[in-house]
Amino acid sequence: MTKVDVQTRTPDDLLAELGRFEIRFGVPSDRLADAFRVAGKLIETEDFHRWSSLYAFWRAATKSAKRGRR
Amino acid sequence: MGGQPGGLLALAEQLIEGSGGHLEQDVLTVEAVEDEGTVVALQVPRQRLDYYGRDGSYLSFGMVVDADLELVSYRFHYARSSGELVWREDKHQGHEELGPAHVHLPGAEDQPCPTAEVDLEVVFDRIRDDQAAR
Repeated sequence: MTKVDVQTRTPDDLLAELGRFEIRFGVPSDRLADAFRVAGKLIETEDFHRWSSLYAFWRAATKSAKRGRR
Repeated sequence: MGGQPGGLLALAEQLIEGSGGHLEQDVLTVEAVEDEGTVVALQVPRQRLDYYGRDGSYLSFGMVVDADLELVSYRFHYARSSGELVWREDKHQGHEELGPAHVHLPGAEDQPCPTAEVDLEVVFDRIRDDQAAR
């Protein structure tokens, strides 16, 4: 059997981690992809992939939470 | 772990078990966000499956799943032991000209091509085919 280590995160701690990217790159997350463009072309650095995955995770988590409270 | 994404986690475990690869850390690490006891989103942070015993190829993978079981983001990077890229299936924002799902291929890694979305089952089928052909 594959062993699984499940670590619990909260939207707040995801947001705090996103905030560290925003401070570092000086752009809010909804425009942060632009910080990775050179002459309009997206450069997929390790930082880009880390931020992009984290942002998708936060959006998925908050979308579901908002929907559940309607 | 309750909720639908928890069901997807069980499927992922099953697929990894049958993938023919070995988790680099011997454990699948998953991050989960719960809302009132229900898992509403999962992230599988970047980790690696090694195909040692065969040709040393590896799959570096990470993904995010929402409450609708949609793979909202993924990165499936399949490479040889030397690091030479075989393919990388990505889904993420930032390539408005391509759409979120695209593939990076050897020789033009920085020029991804649009492609259909994939899932773990498709990825492991393709790796099995590649490994069988080597």
